[in-house]
Amino acid sequence: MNSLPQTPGWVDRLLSRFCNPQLLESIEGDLHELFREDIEKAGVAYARRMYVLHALSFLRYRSIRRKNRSKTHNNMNLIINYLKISLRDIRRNTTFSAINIFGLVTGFASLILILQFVLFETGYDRFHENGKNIYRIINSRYQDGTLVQKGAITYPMIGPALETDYAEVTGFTRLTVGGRTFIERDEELFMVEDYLWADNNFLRIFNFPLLHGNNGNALSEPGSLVITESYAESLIKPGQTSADLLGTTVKVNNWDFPVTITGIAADVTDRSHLQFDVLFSYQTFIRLAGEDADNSREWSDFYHYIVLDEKTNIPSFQSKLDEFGVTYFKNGEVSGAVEQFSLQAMHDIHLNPDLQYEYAQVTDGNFVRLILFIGILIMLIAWINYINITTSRALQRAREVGIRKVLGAYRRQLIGQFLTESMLVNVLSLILAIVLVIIIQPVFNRLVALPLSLSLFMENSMSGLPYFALFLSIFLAAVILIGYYPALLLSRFSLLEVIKGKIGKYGDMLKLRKVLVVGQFAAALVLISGSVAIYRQVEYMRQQDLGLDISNNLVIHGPQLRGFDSTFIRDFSEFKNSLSNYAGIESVTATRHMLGDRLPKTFRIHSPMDPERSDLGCNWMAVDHDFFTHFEVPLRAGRYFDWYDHHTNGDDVNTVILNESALALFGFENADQAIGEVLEIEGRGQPNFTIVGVVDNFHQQSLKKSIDPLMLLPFYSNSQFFVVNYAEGTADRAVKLARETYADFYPGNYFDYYFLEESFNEQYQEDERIGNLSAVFTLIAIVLAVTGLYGLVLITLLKKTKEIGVRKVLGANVISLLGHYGKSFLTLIGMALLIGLPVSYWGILQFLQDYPYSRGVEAPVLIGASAGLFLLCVVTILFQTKRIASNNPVESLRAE
Amino acid sequence: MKGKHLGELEEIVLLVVANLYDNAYGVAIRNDLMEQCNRKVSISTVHNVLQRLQEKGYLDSRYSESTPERGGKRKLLFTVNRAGQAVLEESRQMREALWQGIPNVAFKKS
Repeated sequence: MNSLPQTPGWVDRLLSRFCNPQLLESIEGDLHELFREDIEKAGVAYARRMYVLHALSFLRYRSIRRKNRSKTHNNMNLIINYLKISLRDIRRNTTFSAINIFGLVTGFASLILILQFVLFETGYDRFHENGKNIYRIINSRYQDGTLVQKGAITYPMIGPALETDYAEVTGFTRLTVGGRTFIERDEELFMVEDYLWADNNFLRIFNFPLLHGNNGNALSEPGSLVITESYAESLIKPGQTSADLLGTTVKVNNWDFPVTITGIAADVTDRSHLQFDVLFSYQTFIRLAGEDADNSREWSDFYHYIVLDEKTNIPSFQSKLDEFGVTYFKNGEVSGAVEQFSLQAMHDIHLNPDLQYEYAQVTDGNFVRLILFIGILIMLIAWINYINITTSRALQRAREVGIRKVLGAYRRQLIGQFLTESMLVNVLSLILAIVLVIIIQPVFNRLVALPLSLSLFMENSMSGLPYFALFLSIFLAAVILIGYYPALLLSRFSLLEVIKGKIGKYGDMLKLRKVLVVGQFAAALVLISGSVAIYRQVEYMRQQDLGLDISNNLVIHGPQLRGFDSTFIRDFSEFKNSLSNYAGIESVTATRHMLGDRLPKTFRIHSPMDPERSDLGCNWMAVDHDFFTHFEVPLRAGRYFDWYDHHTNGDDVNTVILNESALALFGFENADQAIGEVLEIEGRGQPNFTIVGVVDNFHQQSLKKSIDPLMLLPFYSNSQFFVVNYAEGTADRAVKLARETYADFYPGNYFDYYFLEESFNEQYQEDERIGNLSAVFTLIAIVLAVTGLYGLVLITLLKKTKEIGVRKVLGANVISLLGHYGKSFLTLIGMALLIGLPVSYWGILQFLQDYPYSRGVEAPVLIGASAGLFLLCVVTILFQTKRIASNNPVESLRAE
Repeated sequence: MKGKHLGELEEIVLLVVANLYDNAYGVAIRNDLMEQCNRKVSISTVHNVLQRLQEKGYLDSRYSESTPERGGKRKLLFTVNRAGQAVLEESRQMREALWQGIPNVAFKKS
């Protein structure tokens, strides 16, 4: 008998759990009997299987399941009861429920919006199938052991060489970025703003699907062109579709060969670091620029992406890249600098703004993290409010708990009751928050200038789950966690304690609650001073004197369709004269490199003060001779350029003006010493440039960049910008005059203009966006923290209504009551400020480190933020205390 | 409970219980159903029907002594009570009446 095989235990447990206990014995008996029969019939394994099947089939029948009227509770009924009680409680205590729900809704809505932003920014480039194996090559250059450049650009021979040399590299693509150009179709001009020269691998490695044409070979030939669907829309004629453009031939710029449209690509999504309207084949570029574009080791304007085999060990491949740099560039002999190459995962590109010569769509990852951090803080503040208010109301609920216990409720059931309450409040708030998000989405999207939506949560996270599932499970876990503490606390009371009045100690300020309040307000202080600091920094950068005057300037794109010849400079000078003859036009000048644009840098300069070296690197800028007078750049020594410094043939140019920073680079002690000295700049037709002048430093780029050494050279070309300075308030007239004169002098060219100050200030757009975002969310955080405080004060005072009445009867006045009850709260706020101040100081210091020009950490900001927050708290407390303290004591004593 | 109506399976089970007289319990009923009526029914269904019949008041039940082959569990033995007997009679009479009522010609050809 004992040798009878065991029946599966879990099945028995399941049965005993779900079956009506009165029937259980006979069921189990029958199952056993069948089990024995089955063993004899077909062995133990079969019998076990059948046993499970038989047993489980019992669970189908209602007549066999546990009965409602049995001793144990039906969960459904209990939960309905929980919900009913919870709803009653919410309704009965309108003020506190409102504070709770308001706080949670605001918190959830903020967090949802912030998560949208974070998901949007972190989800770039996920649409490339092979994305995680694609890396960009980063090129660092060292001179004398110091890093002089770390850029996204490198030499064109890198890609082919890497693919031949290393088996891990399974593919590469290289590209370079074009400026503005024109496509001419049947004598109609179409402007191209963003274009890339991309090789044939580009459309094979990246997932930019062609709607028409072949991804495999669309960019293989010289003179081939791929355009996006929406660009095609602008190019087609009425009645045509974009497919009809395939194979169409167009003329581009003044190239002497026709270009054929070989592909129509789907529009590039917003979340791609690569953006383009038009792709020209890289072969076209080689045809125009020569073989150097294919194999140069000195010309580095090229972006490279490689595909690594999945199994590649990245650190060991990195060390191979180090050798590669040494092998091909021989420690500086080839290009004038020690070249080092490294990998950047494609998915990291968007959140890293620190590389030089970046052309990709990038955002500062630190800002994204900052905003996420603020979002989490807000949520914590909201939940802390919830915990504080719920536990503070312990006294009110104590009687309820006591009665329930007397009536036979188990503690477990009471915890269930309170958990249900917090679940209900949180879920309700979440639903309201989602509705709120849907309503304010358009406003928020304008604020961040991004197309955000709830659908971002449908995307898959790294774990393979969609984000909403991930966040929902975090939400549930958090809700249970924050519901559990008040539940434990509230369910602890026994009736005896309630009657004896012992619960007073739970109702007062618990230690934990004090800690939470302090933490809340410390966080609020950090947020306030942080956002003020961001705001002040942006304001500072915008107001700072740039060293030149960019206001009231109109910028016109030069006449690209007019060839550059011997008459170009003379024509421009006449254009200049005839335009500045109009009243209200102050001055006209030209520059190849616009203020705010990134400058080119050359690395092979030799200074007479340092005979050993011929590898100094310096930025340069090509300007018209009256650039300096136009922008009012003060002269330090020597002279400005004059018209005779210009030469139609760039190789004849032989003069240079330096900025002050360049003096130190080239080893001059002062400005006067530099005048008349000759710099050798290799790679030019004629390498000797005489220094004719030195000017004051000016900010060529935003104040986010420090002022680098700069050489100003009197080069001319037809891709120049013309800059028109007009009298204050005459912008419209200036545009009209410039358009007319431009049309006279450069017929057939595209007149396209913008305002310099506006475009220069666009450099601060990102900072402003982050400033706005953090300001909005800081405001929310403060409102939440103060609401929480309001609720806490209210509860504390309500509990003491009688005490206050007695005090008043005994002669206390409102003022002394204020002092008495406000003190404990203000002590907490004071502690919060003491903790928050150093944290804010440190945070602002970190933030300002990225900016070369700032006012430093400003004490008034910190003091002002603390004082403001403190004042706000005082007002909140005063308001509450006064209301209750000024009650007629007769009424308060009569309460209950 | 949908009134006192007797379903087809319920009727058969009731008859089998009556047949087994003093030994009518789950497994035995199931075996009888299989052997005599050629109906393959799962043990849980048998129990379910028995419960329903008891709820309708046609069956009485009591526990037997415990038997070793059932892992020490007692059998729940069922007997048809007066109400059960009455409902069976009623059903039988109704059928007989219906049979009687069939005109001779109706079944001739088939």
